[in-house]
Amino acid sequence: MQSVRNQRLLAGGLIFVSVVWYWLVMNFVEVTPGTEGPDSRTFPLFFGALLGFFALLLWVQSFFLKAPAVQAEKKSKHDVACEVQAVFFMIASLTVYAVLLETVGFILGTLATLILILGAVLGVRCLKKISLITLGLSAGTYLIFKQVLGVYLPLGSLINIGM
Amino acid sequence: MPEFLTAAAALADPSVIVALLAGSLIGIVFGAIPGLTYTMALSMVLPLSFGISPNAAICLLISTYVGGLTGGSLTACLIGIPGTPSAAATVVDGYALVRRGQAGLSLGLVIVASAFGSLLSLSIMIFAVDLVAKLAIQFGPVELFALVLFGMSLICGLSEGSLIKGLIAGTIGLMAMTIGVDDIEGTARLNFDLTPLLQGINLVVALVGLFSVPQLIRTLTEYRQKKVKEYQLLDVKTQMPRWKLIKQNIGLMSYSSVLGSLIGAIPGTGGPIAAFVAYDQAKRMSKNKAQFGKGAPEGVLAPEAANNAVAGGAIIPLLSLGIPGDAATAVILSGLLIHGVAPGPTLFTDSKSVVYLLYIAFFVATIIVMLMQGYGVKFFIRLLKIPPQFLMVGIMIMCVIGVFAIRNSFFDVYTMIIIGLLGYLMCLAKIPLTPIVLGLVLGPTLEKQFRTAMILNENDYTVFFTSPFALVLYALMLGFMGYQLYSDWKSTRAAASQSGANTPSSTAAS
Repeated sequence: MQSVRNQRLLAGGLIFVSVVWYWLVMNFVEVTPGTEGPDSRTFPLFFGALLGFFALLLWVQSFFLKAPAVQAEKKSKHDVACEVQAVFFMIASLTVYAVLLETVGFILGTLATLILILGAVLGVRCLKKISLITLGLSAGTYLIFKQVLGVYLPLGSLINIGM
Repeated sequence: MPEFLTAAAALADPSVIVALLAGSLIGIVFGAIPGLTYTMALSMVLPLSFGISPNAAICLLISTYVGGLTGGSLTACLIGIPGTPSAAATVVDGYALVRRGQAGLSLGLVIVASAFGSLLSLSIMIFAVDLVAKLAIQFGPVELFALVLFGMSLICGLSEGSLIKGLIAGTIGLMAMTIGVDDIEGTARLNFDLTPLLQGINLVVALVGLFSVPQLIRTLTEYRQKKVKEYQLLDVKTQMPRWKLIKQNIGLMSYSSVLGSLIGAIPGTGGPIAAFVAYDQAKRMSKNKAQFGKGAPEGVLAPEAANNAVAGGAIIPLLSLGIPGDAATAVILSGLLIHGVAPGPTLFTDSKSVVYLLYIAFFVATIIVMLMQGYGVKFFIRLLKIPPQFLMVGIMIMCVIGVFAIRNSFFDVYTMIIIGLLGYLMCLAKIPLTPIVLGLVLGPTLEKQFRTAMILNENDYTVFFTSPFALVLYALMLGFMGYQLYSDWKSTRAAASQSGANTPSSTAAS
């Protein structure tokens, strides 16, 4: 039954998105005066309405599904907790890395992020392993992007070393 | 001929050769490691391609694709786990050979069949692409609109079980592509005064977010759940099959390759279907049916030739019509567009040398992949021993730096993180991601052709029903959608009745 409920929740959420989208388009997309036929709003509005229509179909479909047919595989509490933690840690790691790149630049940012991920997220306790992976990956990325591809690597706005 | 020579001359550029070698290697590695996909490899190399010439970028993408298709068979043979779904049919007899102590021969068969399938599909591709493009060159805005609409209907085939969810995903892609400056009126749409959003959501940022971040989360989840597998790997030396065996099976490999190319050309199908159909056909045609499942060479040659031939087939609609058939070709299409190459009928008149370069890259990549697999088996085995969580960290760093490098913008990095999180939530809700890419890639053309046709015909909607070709495409589209709707309904009913039969009450009643 939980999956049927999930499907209805999903459909409801999508209908909400569709309504918000409609409101955004009507309030934030300007139309050039005197335009005849399809204008800047036509396609965004049409696609928003289409999303609402499909979401409605999804909601209607949930009434015709027999519960066992859509029953999802049950996950243990431990598995669910691990999944939530993984989502949190990955998004946090990516965000922290982006912020560090912006503030302290590529070299310090990459070294700090790698030490953080290996030590705190992956739980690696061997210092030799952490140093080896951190230095190897940082040097490898630097070589590929800076030396081989000639790409500009981020410079820190607060601290900037070695670039 | 001069265009062909221009394309061939590109191979003299060391960066093109390096791109071919790197792409093949990355493709094989991502294809071989269970859990990583070659679509992810393609989305990861896409930002890297910004720092190199367009020729090298095309070679990098094509070689990654070719390498990825073949790489999955390495693990299918060595550990009995397919690196990609396309290699699933190879496991049956490929791994049976390993258990019989013939791991080297199993790999040899994979290498020969893969190269054979790729090269034969390349010839089919060269012939068919030209033919389809010659037909499509006469299209105006109405036909192009109908064609793109038909391309969008392929979402149904990529819906992975739920047609409605596939359509929802496609619509989300179409909605996202409307953000940014409207090409026709020049007005800003939903950018909320954010300058980077004036150019819309960058396609590469969206691709990396959709295909890499959810995979990184999954790898971390498996690690935290302690479900990371350690593979028992053998020390193998590739043993090429004898000429007599190859000669005996040339007919089978040719048949499987043609089958693979045809299936590959139908958007929304792909490698797994081709491989299983070819395996089934090989079993039916074989005189030694009893040997199948116990290490029959035909059971490796047929699916391998077919799943590699899919690549050539899938590139036919991509090059000639600009319609991608799956996620991987959608990423390749995005890469080509970013480098100023617009696949479609005009590609053959505007930049024929690019088409030739693509053929040459495909050919050379096939040879490189064959040699790498033949001589580099020990290296790949060592690579498989690297714990996936450490690979994940490396991929994460590459994705962030790669996305930043596109426009030197941190806005893109944060956008990638948000899209990645949304992509993961969609995966949880079982909303397929490939239709989103299709919406993002085809959406702008759909809107542009529609509005151009309307402007040219004084806003008369009936113009869309005047072209016979467009009408045929609408009919095909409706037929295709109807068929998918019927299949979807049928499979839901079958699943419902099966689970109904398994409930305690029905068991007691029976």
